[in-house]
Amino acid sequence: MIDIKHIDGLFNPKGVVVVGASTHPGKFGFVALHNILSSGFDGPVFATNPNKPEILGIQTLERIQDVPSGEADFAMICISPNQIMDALPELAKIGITSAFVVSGGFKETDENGEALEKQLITKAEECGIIIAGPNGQGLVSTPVNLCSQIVSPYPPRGDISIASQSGNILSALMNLSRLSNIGIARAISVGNQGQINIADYLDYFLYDSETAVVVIYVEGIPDGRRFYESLQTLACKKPVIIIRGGSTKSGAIAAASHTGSMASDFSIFSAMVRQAGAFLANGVESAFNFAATFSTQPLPKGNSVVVMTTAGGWGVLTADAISGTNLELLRLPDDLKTTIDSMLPPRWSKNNPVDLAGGETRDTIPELLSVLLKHESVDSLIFLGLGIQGNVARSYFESPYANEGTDRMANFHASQEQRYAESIIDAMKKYRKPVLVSSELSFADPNNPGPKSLRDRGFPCYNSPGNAVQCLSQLVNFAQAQNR
Amino acid sequence: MITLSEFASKKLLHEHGVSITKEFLVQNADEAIKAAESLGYPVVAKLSGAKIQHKTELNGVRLNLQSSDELEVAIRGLEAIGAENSEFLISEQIQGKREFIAGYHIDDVFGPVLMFGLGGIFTEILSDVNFRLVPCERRDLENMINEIKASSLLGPFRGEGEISIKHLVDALLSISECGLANPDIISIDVNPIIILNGKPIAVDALVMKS
Repeated sequence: MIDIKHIDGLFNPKGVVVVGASTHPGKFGFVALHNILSSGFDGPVFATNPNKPEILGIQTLERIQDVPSGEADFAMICISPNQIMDALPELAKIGITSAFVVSGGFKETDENGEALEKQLITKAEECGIIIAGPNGQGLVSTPVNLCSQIVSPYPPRGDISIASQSGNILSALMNLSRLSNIGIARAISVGNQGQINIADYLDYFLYDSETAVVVIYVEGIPDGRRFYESLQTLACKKPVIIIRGGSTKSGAIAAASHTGSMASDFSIFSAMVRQAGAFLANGVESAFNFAATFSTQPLPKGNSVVVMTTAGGWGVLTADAISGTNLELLRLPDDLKTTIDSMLPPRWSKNNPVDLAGGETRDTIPELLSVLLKHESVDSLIFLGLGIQGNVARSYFESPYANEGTDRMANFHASQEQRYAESIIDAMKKYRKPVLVSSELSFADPNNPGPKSLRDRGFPCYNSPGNAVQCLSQLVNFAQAQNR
Repeated sequence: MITLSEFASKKLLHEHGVSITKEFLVQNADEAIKAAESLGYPVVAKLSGAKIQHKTELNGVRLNLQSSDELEVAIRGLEAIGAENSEFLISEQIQGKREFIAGYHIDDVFGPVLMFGLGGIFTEILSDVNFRLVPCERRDLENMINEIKASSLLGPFRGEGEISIKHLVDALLSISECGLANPDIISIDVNPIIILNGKPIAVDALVMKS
């Protein structure tokens, strides 16, 4: 078992050395240094190259021993497998305690590579250095402004942490983080897991105070029971979302028994995830949606939900999506109905979904949001129709007939959208109840002031009611498990 | 790999607390009739023996035998298909409308797991089964039971009352304990489990040892 403090050295280094820095922008040794520098890492950055060129304004050092001792404790290793063996003792001498080995040519290749990886780990252990990778794409740690990785989307800071068996899935999740402005704390491409495996990272994420939500991508699991135990311990404290690759592989080896033939790899894996209290996502996008929800929303007290809509059809589809889940579409209590009656013209839906039916005036939406969320029978709210006024504004702004009158109206619409978005976030914070917004405009017109205002404040806007309902349903599941 | 006979499999499960059908192992029709008289009709007659794993495929099961005449005819029929030293298992006939399946299996990655799901002739087709890593807590088994798609079968069904989840969990725990207590056991199938007066009874079972 790996000491958690050592893993912390990867994510919270004092100083960094890029071993094998390159002058060529196409090489890992350049990209890694570039990303570490451009993310503005908090500590000193050194780089080694036998020819001592200046790279990106940094004077590289010929040998590892030229790095001032004690200045750096983390190394990003971009040299060939054979060179690494010689480099490790030197790295230990200057005070390196953790390293990420980007280089490939190990277990992923053949038997020789596997033997080489064993040597690497033995050597690292002798030198007292903990190794992430090899054959991984690096790591990100936003609390210390560190982007030590070669597939570069550097995400905004947040509290979601990721460990991924695929560098590209990691990068996809970070792309979604940038797109949605919902941030990341730690992210690591675990590579071959030569020394530190996914279960070790789960243990670290439990301990790490910067991490509130965890996403992992796994294919094969070497020690299933150990993985389960780490997962279960973490999942009862922090939500864990799992993406599983290779799940269609048949596990029906022991077909002699009934149980064996029905025990497919995936059915046991998914049951194990439920038993541990974690969440299985069916893809990268839904995993990120779940994580974004846990990262931004308070936990609901119960499962009753109110749908508030200015768009009739979306309200109906949302109610449909809610049926068959663990959520309950609240039957509006009489006192709430009476209050809404006093705020809206009589044509409103008189029921949940609360369809405003176009009856809103200037301040109706922020006021009704408060009224609904304040009511004790409401545990959460789904808001639909954000961006519709912004859509009208867009057609005026783009109109060949634009004039002072249409401009004034368009500006009013746009400012209303921004106000709605802000009142949604404010109301969520004030009443400590989840408010999930769904609008196709979040991707159909990302500049629409409704969804854009949410995004600017790091708040999610779901693409469809189905997504919002699924996310709220998981939020309720986690909240209920916490209360048990 | 050693496969225990149905009789030995159920006996082992019973020692760990699983309720099983009352039954006798007999050598011939006379003994069968004696056994049936002590059980009371109707009874079930099954071909038994170390080499008989797939009774149903061999057509080696005779259900719902109402009298000594019917039983005798059944035994003659079984004698015709059985191997030389065949034995016969005479069991009480459990009348219940709901059938489930349970099992124990050692997964390559996660180790010992327990299975529970919908039994009966559509078991494989519907594959409505669920798993838990064992050992585990009672609550895990309750969740395992409630998560199957056919969970509405657990409530009152066609004139039968609701199923006692406590007794079902007890049975599953016993199967799990049986597997975990014997490291040489690599799999246990209990199929079917029939519900009688709300409680589960193991009607057939197969234990495999390494």
